[in-house]
Amino acid sequence: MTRTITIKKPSQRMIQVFDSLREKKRQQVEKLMKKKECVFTVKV
Amino acid sequence: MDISFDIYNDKGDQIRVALSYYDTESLQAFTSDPLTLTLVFYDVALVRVVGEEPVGVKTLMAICDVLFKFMNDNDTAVLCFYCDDLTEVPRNHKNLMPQEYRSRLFSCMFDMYVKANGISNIINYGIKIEDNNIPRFAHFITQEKYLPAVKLLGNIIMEK
Repeated sequence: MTRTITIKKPSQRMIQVFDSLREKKRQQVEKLMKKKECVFTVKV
Repeated sequence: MDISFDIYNDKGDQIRVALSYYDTESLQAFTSDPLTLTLVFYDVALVRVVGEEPVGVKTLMAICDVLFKFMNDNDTAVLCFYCDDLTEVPRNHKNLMPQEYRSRLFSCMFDMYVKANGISNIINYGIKIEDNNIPRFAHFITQEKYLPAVKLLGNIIMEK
């Protein structure tokens, strides 16, 4: 089940947390496009 | 180390699903709640390696299969999916921003999967914030029994 909350006026700290999640994602995507590390294969 | 799964469909698309451990030792500075400290957080990244068209339901369900099997094998795992705007995403709904589309697609495939498989103990907890009128989305996938702990942690970290 999906539950969603919306925060219209986020605190500065909350924005910083989202910024750090975005940075982590950027690093991940960059790394994933470069090298493979323990990759399993699924065919559908 | 990251764990990755490459999903190939019969149209030649390739999607990489990667789970990456978050170093959360620093959480001890925020809380002493024993339940919260047992949680293990993983970043989920979905990368389109080959293909440019939107993928079908079968492939989306295969992605969910990977994520749910991981959750079943790792009881205290909490998956974090940040919906990024870093790259474009193939989509029919061009009026939606990439991060908004990713969020909707993620929730849609999650709900389809749990309905099809009769799963009721795993929750997709989405958080949307409005940052200077730009929407940003993060999703936390957790066992329902850990949702209060996840919320508690979120409130502490984000000083909500």
